[in-house]
Order: sequence, then C-alpha cells, then structure tokens
Amino acid sequence: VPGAGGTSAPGGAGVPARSHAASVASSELVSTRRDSPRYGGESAPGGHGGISRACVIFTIARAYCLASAAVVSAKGATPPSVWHETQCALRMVATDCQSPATWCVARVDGVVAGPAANRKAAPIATTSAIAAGTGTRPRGIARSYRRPRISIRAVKLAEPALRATAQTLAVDLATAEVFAALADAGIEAMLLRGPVVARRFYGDAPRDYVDVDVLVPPAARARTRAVLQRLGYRPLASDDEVAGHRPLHAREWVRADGVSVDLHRTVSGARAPDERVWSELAARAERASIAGTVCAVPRAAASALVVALHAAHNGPRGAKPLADLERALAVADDVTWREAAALAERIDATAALAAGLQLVAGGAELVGRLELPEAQPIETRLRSAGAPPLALGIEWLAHTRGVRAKAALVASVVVPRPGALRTWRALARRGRWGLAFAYVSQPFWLARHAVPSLRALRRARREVA
Amino acid sequence: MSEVLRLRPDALEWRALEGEVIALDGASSTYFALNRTGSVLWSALAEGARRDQLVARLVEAFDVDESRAARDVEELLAALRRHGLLAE
Repeated sequence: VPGAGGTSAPGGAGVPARSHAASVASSELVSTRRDSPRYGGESAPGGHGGISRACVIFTIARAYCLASAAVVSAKGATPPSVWHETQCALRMVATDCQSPATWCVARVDGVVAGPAANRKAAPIATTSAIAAGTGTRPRGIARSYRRPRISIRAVKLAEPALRATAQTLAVDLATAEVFAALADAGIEAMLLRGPVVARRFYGDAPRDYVDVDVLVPPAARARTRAVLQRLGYRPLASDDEVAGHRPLHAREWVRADGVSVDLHRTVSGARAPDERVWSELAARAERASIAGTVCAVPRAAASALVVALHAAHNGPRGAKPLADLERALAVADDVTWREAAALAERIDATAALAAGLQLVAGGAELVGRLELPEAQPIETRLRSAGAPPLALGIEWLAHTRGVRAKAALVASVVVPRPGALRTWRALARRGRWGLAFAYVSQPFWLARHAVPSLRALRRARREVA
Repeated sequence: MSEVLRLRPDALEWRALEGEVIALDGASSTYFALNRTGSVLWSALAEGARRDQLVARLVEAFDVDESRAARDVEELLAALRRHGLLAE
C-alpha cells in the first residue's frame, strides 16, 4: 500500500475493512457476468468459473519462461519495494488512495477505492448494464463527476470496438432506410439476421453486425434491385459476371459509404424452391422496430433455424455464426427447436440444420433429441467441415454438363470477371490495387487451394457415400 | 412545469460502449461520443425527461451539487440543440 511503509494495512483477516467493502462491491458487479457473453476466455454461463485453457496456455508458458529466466539469472527475489508498488498499481482491486495523481478515485459508500486500471478490468457487467439502460452501478455508489460532454467522434481504424459499434449503428440506419423504401414500393421483405439475432438471442449483451440481410419473395426480386439501386447500392457482381457459377443463396450489394445489403433469394442450406422458403419463413412473421422503422422478422423458431443454417454455411471457422448458435441453443427451448426442425423439413434444410447444430457443444444431443437424420448432401458436408472454398467449385464443375460448359467455367475461374473475383476474394474489394493484386495472384491462389480442396472433396464424398 | 425534452426520433442511433455512448446521426452522417456523465443524460433524454429530472439524475448518479449539475445540463442541452439532436 503506498505510504504504508511496505506493509499491508491492518484489518479483519488481514484486509482493510474498506478494501473489503470495495471488493464486495466489485464482485457484485462482476457477478452479473453469468448473464453476459464471454468477452475473453472466461467460462461459459453456468460453468464452474475459471478461464479456458486455450486462452492461458501461452501466457502460462511465457510466465514459466520468465520465471525460469529469473531463477537462472540468480538475481534473487524481486525487492518488496518494487513488487508491492507494481502489484498495487496493476493488480489489487481495492487500495487506499494515497496519491490523487496516481489513482483515479471512485467513492464507494464514502470509501475511496479502486485505481482506473482495476475498474477497467471488469467491464462486462457495466457494459451490459448500460446497454440495458438499467444503470451502471449498485445504488449507493457515487462516481467521480465530470462535466457531461458531447463531441464529434472520428472513428479510427485503431479502435476495433468503436469501429464495430459505429458500423452496427450505420447498419441499423441502413436497415431502416431499406425497409422503409421497400415498404413504400409495396414490397414485402424480411430482415433475417443482424438486430434480429442480437435481440432474440443476446438480450442486453452487445452483438455487432456488418450488413443488412434481406429476404424477399422471388416475384419481388427485380423491383427490390431497383429500390436498392435508387438508394445508391450496387451489386458486387452482375448476373453476367457470375453466369454459370454455383448459384449463391444471397447476393451482396454495396454502397459507397461501406454499408452492404445481402439480398437473399433463399437461406443457405435450404433446397426447397425459393418461393416455398419465402412463404414458410414469412408465415407467422413477427414485427420489430429497427431505428424507428417496422420490419418483418422471422418468428423465434425460424430465427433459430436461420442461425443454425448460417453456422452450417460458415463451418467450424465461422466464429460469429457459431457464437450466435451457442446463444440460440442457450436461449431457445426444445419446443422452439422442434418447431425449427419441422420448418427445416418443409424447406428441405434438415441436413443443414443437423450439420450446423453438430458444430457446437450440446448441439449433437439436440440433434439426437430432435431425431434429425445423419445423411448430408455433399455441399452441406463440405461447408460444415470447413472445406477450402475451391472444393465447392470443383464439386460444381463435376456436375456441370458438357465439355464446353466445363471449359468455360474453368476459364472464368482462372480469369474471372471483376464482380466474380470481388465475390470470392476480399482482397479484390480493396480498390483498384486490390483488384489488380487479386488478378495477379489468382493462379497462385487457385494452386494453393487446389490440392486441399480436392482432398476435402474426396473425404466428403467418402463420408456421404 | 418545464417541457419534456427528447432526442430526435428519426435517423439517430446509439449504443453504449464501455460506459460511454456512441451515437450516429444519419442526417449528417456524423458520429458523436458522450462521456459517462453525458451518457446518463442521454439515456434519460431517450425516454424523455424534464430539465429538473435531468438534474436529479446527475445528482443521484454522481457526487455533484445541484447548482453545478443544473448548469452542466443546460450546457449539454445547448450542445445537443446545436447539433440538431433534440426533438423540436
């Protein structure tokens, strides 16, 4: 403790009473973490606490190396004067405030406690509480006062959390704009993910999103394109540029301000005709207000299905879809999942539903309870196994009929049209230079992925046979 | 009784981030940041609040006397008006 002569201040059980009070207050804040998402490697809600092994294995190894180095250097133990000050500054939760220049002060029932670094160490409860609009502190705690201020904020690339939040806000406003414009044009549309997933499965916990996922009936597709064009969006690839390629479940439209809209003709993994997918998802759709505009959104079971299909689409490397599915599993009950399974059967997405569920903990058990079949189409198998992107293309090539069509397809992959290249590779979206580099590197990219893709395809074929 | 003050209802979205509020004004394509103290007032304005209620919020939440809180509320309201973020 600064100013205490290098010794701990006296108190019950060796702890100063006010330090203990501050520690209790801090624990109360942190205790709400059971309802919050995991920000780092903490255990899942309902777990026994602690930190997942994957998150600490490297830091433990590093600490071991440092400790060994200290022993080998034979410099002896760290002097208490150094150790104590360092622990005080970086570790302890509640410490007497001896130097206003050093400590950021927070009053806890009249007790001064907590350096800024420590209060920053437990942001989970406070962040979710603010998001919920329920306040940020237990009653009785008065925070240090600063004049309320509003300032224009430049969003810097170096601030990932701010950037993600800023993008989410932009997506919310874009969602409202798009759905209002579609409604004005008399077009029925449904918002599939983004704020829908956030509200339904994340509760008050923050969940960022990067685009607007819009599903429209097949008959309204052309008019929807016209509306998007009027709002300043342009398709990443025109129909001509991707002609002959494997049809995608959604096409991306982008605007100069960076906002993008995924225009869905169906949902990934559904093999039923688009019209049936629309009518099944639109049936009993619910309404949600996004940035002041009312949007049609899938009902709970349909949302759960969409989340599971999205996870299957992205495979084991899709961290965010998997996190969404974990949340959906935690929130939705078996009745909801049974309804989701029935819906999946009607849109011929049962295999993808099962594949998605099996990617997360507890999903396999749910697959068993729902008695979902194990058989999977090759595309579902490839996606859920996280096969290299070329594997799906080779599978599509194998099913393309006619030598000329096959040759044209190969040529359009080796030297693709700009829109197709932008659809496949993120590098190609980074302006002219990015596109140029993507073109130059395309043969190498294909060569790098060819063998792993063929292996993955062969393995998937064996597994589904 | 003083008027109920509210944030502008259209083209304005915000989120809490580490205790502060990040807001996007869609009309001007401008991001705003409010500090912790400002975020308390912002959430009150989102629901709609009178001046005296805003002052009470500050006094309740922070270690500040009423006269200073009232002065600071007026300053923030003026800034919000200047940026066109309050409903007229």
